[in-house]
Order: sequence, then C-alpha cells, then structure tokens
Amino acid sequence: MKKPLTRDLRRCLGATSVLSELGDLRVYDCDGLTIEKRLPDAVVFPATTEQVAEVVRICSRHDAPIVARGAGTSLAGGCLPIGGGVVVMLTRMKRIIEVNVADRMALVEAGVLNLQLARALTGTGLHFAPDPSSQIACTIGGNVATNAGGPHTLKYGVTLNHVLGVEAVLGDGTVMQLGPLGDRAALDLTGVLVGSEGTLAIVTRVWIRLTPNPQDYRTLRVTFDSLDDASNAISDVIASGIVPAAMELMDQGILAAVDEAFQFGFPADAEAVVVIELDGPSVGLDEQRDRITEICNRHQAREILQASDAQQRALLWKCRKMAVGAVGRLSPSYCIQDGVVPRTKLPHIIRRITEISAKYSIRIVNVAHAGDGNIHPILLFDERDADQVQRALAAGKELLEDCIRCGGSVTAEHGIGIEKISLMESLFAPYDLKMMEKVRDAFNPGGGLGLGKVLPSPHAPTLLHAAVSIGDV
Amino acid sequence: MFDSIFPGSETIQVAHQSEVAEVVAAAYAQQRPIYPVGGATSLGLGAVAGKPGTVLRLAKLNQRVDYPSRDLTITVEAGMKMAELAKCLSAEQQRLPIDVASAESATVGGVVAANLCGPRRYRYGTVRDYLLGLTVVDGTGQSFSTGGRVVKNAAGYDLTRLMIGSLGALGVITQATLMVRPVPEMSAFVVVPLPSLEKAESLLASLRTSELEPAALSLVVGDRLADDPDRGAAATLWIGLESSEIEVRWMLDLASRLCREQGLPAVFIDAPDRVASIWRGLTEHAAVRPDQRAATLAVELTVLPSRTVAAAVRLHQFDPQASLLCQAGNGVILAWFSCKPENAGELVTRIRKAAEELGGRVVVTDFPPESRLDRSTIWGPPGPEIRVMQRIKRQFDPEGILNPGRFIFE
Repeated sequence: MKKPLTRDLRRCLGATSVLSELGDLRVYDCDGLTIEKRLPDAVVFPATTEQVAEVVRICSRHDAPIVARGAGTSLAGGCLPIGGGVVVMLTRMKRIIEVNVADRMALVEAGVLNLQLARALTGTGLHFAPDPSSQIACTIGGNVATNAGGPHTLKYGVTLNHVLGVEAVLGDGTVMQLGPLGDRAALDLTGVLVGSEGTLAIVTRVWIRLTPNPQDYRTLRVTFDSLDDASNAISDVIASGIVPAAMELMDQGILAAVDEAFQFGFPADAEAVVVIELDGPSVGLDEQRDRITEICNRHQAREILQASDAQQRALLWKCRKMAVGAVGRLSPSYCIQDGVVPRTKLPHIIRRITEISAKYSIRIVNVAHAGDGNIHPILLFDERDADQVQRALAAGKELLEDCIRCGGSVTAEHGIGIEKISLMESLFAPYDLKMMEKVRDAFNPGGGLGLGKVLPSPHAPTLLHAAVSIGDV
Repeated sequence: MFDSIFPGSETIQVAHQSEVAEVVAAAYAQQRPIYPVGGATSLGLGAVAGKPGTVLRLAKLNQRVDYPSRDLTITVEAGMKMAELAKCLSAEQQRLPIDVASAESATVGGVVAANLCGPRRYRYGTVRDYLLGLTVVDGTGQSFSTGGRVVKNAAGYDLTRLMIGSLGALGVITQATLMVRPVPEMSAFVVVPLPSLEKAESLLASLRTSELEPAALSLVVGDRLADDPDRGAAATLWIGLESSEIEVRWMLDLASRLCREQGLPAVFIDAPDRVASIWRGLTEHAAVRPDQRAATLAVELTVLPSRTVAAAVRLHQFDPQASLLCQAGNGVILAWFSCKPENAGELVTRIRKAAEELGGRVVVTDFPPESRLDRSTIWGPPGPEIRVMQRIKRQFDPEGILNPGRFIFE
C-alpha cells in the first residue's frame, strides 16, 4: 500500500525530493509541541505549485492524509502527521517573487522565512508587520496558517491584516488565485484561509501588504515592584487612548532566566518589567512617552529607562524575543501556553496564574503581549515525572478555561492544532462548530488536508493521557 | 417602498434576534426567499430580485449589548444605525474609523454585509480589520456565532471574515462585536486643486513614498464637494491628516512642501467645523441621489494603487461628464455616469474591458432599475474559486432562500 504511494511520489518529484526511510521520517514526527509524535509515511519537498498540486492528487488517489508544513515551529501540534500520510514540506518554495514598493505589496512563496523577507526589504522603507518570536525560523506560509502575531500586533494587527491574497491548492489539486486586489464580487476566501492551519487548502504563495517603517521610536523599559501594578498600568495605558506599537510584560521568573542568558541587568527583586514601544513621526513621540510615564508612575513604577540608541533598542527586543528560549535554563521541560482575555481582565488573569501555579505546585513564569490581553504563561515541569506532567497539563487547562470565563479565547496566535481541540467545545456552541465543519467540507471535501486538526472529530487524537511515553526522552 | 428591487415581496419588521431565526426558519420550511434589509442605503448593490419573498427589516434590532470601553470593543445588534454607534462611542472619545454614507440610516449589519467603507480606509482599513465576531442566522433559521470579543483570536475558522461582503446570501447578521479606536486629537486637510488629472500622478507618487501617513487620499473629478476652494480646477486632491496636534502640524508642513516641489498650490484647512464638513462631504459623495437613480450608472473600479490615475484618465475619456471619487491610496474608484437604461449594459462592458487592460476589476454598485442588469454584468465573470463559494453557499443556505439572485449566487 505504502510502496506504490512513495513510488508515485518519486516518479513525480524525483528521488531526492521524497523521504521514506524511518530515520529520515523521525525528523518530521512532531513540531514545537514535542510531547506528541506520529510518523508520516513519506515526506516530500515540492519546488513549485504544480508539484504541490500533483502531490495532492497522488495522495488523494492513495487516500493518504496530507500535512502541509513550513519550519515546524508550531506550538500546538499543527504539523503532527495524524494517521501517517505525507508531510508536504514547503521549505523549498522560498522565492521572493516580487516586491512592489510603489503599491506596498510583495508576492512570496510560502516557504520564505519571515526574517528572510525582512532582510530582503532592507532599504525599501517597508516591512512585513507580523513579527512572532520565532521569526528567525518561521515561514510566511506558517504565519498565514496560524494567523501569527507578535509584539507589534498591538498597533499593526495580526497576519490577517497584512495578507492581500494567496495562491492555494485545494484537496482535489485545483489551484486557486485569490487577490491581491479586493473583490466585491467574491467571498473573502483569503480571510478564511488565514488561520486555517493547513486544513482547508495548501497555501503556496502569499500576497503581502507591506507597512512603511516608522520614522522613529521610543522604547521604554519600565520596572515594577509588583506584578499587579504592572498589569494595571498596562490596562490604563490602553484605556487612555494611546496606541503603543508594542507593550510586553515579563515577570520575575522569566527575567531571571533572560538575565542569566544575556546579562542585561534586570533587577532581581522586581516582580515585572514592561517593554513599551512607541513609534511614528519623531515630533509626536516625546509627548506620548510623557503621558505613558505619568501613567506608570501613578502605578508605582520603580524605574523607567529609555533605550538611548538603536543598539540598546535591539538588545531589549532580543531579550524579549529570546525569553522563551532562555526558559530552558530554568527547567528540563516547559510548555508555553497561549491565551487571550479582554484587555481590562489582564490584572485578573495574571493573579489567577499565580493561584493556579500554587494549586498545582507547578512553577509558571510569564511573558505576555500584554497590550492585546494575550498571555503566554510558561509552565515548567520535568517530562520524566508523569505526575508533574499531569499537573502541568491540568494547570494549563484550568488557565485556558479561565480565559474563556473572562470572555476570552484559548489561542490568540498559536492556533488550535491538536493541542486545544478539546477546548473548542468549551469555547463554541455545537452549531458554531457545525458551521466550521461545513466550511471545511466546502474547501476540503475529502478531509485529507490536516486530518484530525482544529475541529473535534473521530480523527482528533486522544492526547497526553497517563500512558504518554515520556520515559524514553 | 422596495418594489423596484424586490417586486411582489411582503415586508416583515423584527425587533428581537430570536424573531429573525423564527422568520427564516418559517421561510426555510416554505422555501420562500428572505431579503434582509438594514437601513436600505445600499439596495442598488446587486441584481433585482427574481422571486417574490419576504423583505426582512432589521433596523429595529438596535440595542447596544455591551460596551466595555476600556477594552476598546463594542457589541451591538445588527440594526443599530452607524450614526447611533458613533454617538455612543464618542461619549468615550472613541470611534469606528469606517466612513459610511447616510450614517443616520445605514446599519452595522448592512455595513458588514455590503462591506462598506469610505475615505479613511487608506490609513485605517476596512470592516475586515475591525470586526471581531458576529451572531448570524443561517438559511435554515439556526443561529450561530463566529469569532469572539477579544482583539486577537486564532481559535477555529474565521467565519467572521466569510460573512463580510456576503450581501446577506450566507446568513442574516443579528449582532456584531467590533474593535474601536481612540478619536485622534486633531484632524485637518491639505487641499490641492489640480490643473489636469494627469498632474495628480507625480504628486501621488511622491506622497506615497514620503513619510506622510495620511488618513485619506481622495481625488475628486467632475461633481465637486461644497467645500472645494477651487471648483474651476480639473480635479481636486484631498489629503486628510489625523493624529496628535503636533504630528498633524508636522504633516501639514511636509504635505505643503511636497506640493510645492511639484509646483502645485495647496490650501490648508484646520478649522474643526470645516474639517468635519469635508469628511462628511467625501463620505456622502459616494451615495447616488434617489432622484438620479433612474438615469445613473455607478461602478466601483479597483486597480493597483499606482494605476489609479491611469484608470481615472480612461474613465474620463469614456465620458468627460462622469464624476469620479478616487481613493487614490487604495486604487479604488467610484464612478458615476449619466446613462439611459438601455445603454447601461454596454457601458459596463466597455468599462470592464478598460479596467481589465489595467489589471483591474469592476463591479456595478448602482444602476437604473429599468435596465435590469443581470448578475454577470453587475459582478463580472467569476474565477474558478466560484466553485468553493458555491459549495459554501449550499452549506449555509441549502434551499437557496437567502437573497437569491442578488449576489454572485443564483
């Protein structure tokens, strides 16, 4: 059964673009959610849209499920090959086809790295606004699949707001061209494909909206003795009518790890640091900075420092973006969660995280895109201790259920993948989910793309039960 | 009142969201068409309904559901008027930066369903960028919710985006949650009378590549705004600026320098009353006057922003009397032609051909009802993706009762 599949794939793509040896396949058995693993039957590396379409047709003939994958930085198991099948790697499709400065748009292949695009745009005065922390590794196709965000979404919006159109391959191998011009005579299929985690179509090219670089920045590092004061200050800045470019919270636990890694000199006894960035024309920035300073002082800020030059600003952002990686110094294993609450509920949810941490005896450290109400609590545990694993999972679940109770959601930018399928029924009513199923059936009638992801279904894997085989790590 | 668009249909007014579901469920059982209508400001968009049914008036469904202003979000029922929404938000110095003509009639649900916007779209975007979630009744009379009430949400498929611009053909919108923005401290205009339409080309190019980030870049040809300082000019460019006062003053300086470099005079307007009047004028300019409907063809032409002037020149060649409102930063041109009903179809074909030569598209947004333009003339030829759209339509509206024949679907 599998032999004819790989044979057909090789015939289509050439032997060097198809992997089927066990040792090779192991590399693709999971993504950033390392706790779950499944082996694919084959991994393919198409170089063109036509090849992707042909692979889809072959898989359809062989009834093999398909997982489209970029860099595999998903933290929600979006790239897990459930039921085996074929992993379609889009990393060879990495051409920047067109940069149109006059119209502020670019056409790129799905495998282009977020950072590669940023570098290619140097000197144009334009940039692609979504800047997830994984931007050195993640691909634009992956950004589209998860509707990726990042710190600067506070002012600039998420990937959806920066995608003008896509080229996509449907489950039957049909190629669709959507955009880049807005089209009144059509449904916004591009808007539906963004964030659909590869379960509706395989996006092969993306029309990107480019954003002008701001003329200037003010980047502040505000230190608070109390976490409560920090989250209240953030909530007040939003309510005051200022829209900073970014407003990022890091708590004491994560600061210790970051400091150990980068020796940035964060005060060890402060409960929180908030990085606030303002951008735009220089003339207006000092006034905004002064208003923010005043709000922070009202909430007992201990210290407010301003990055004095581009180098200091870059270092501050490096600390923030490498923060999660630095957690490896604190714990053998960790799980980064992604939840979102209405922005005024930030102080509440941050307090709940502390309570939940105590309740389950699981250490939790925090980073947050706080201006958006998007929290990233990082749960620390030892994967070798089954009891700890269970407690960490239970703590994570309680936290997300709390986000739902606050009127929020279980993911702001990482996606549902397989990790959060079980929470979909808490977040949406049965008929809401039924309508999503109908949309999936309209795009992907056979269900072969992204099998078992996003929506509850018989294919959705039962995850992380007590028998999870962590012992061999 | 609606007989020219929905001949032979009865009208039902609803005041509660649950009634919408009841009415649609009954219509589903009888396979009788439902034509949802909000403020009735965009009924010119879409073909004349082929079958009699029920016109479902939603304007009484107008309650504010929740306004946590410190979260910068608001949830309202779909029949709330845009002017009422604006009033509610302005009490907290907030706003939804989507300009819609006839805001005292247009409803939130209608604006979503018809994907309306105005001059501010250049800086602030469209409904797509502000809508967080919806409650909708599908073609079987069952209610579902999409998205949520938070500003970032990656859970499940984005059915919210699917509903924007779906013109009531996938469901009847009963409630919407929107992200809102603080009202900027100051708003002002730089107005540039142009000796020729072509002269706009180099000025727009220099504005687009400058550090200026205007809220609007509107080029008006033909019919002029009441506030136009020089109605003798061939065209007028309105550069709308919004931000803190200090930034607006800086942008005024920069804009005037860029105009001077092109040898063009620029008029500053910063008196709040006049500025408000210009925003209103640019927004209302888009509406076809009811007394002119019988002899007016209105189209929306979309091209790459850098081709806006070239497209405007082509339209002007067809008819030097035509009126154009170009959102030059977005490549969107609204054009009105005086036109006898019997000539409308042929004129659309010619305009569409010209647009396609420039890589653009054309949709008819209003036409003399007597001309009975068909769907393909109004919306243009569909691409292969129509198959997916038709499958979605069948899933959401299995009996085809929602606004049949008006949008791209049968």
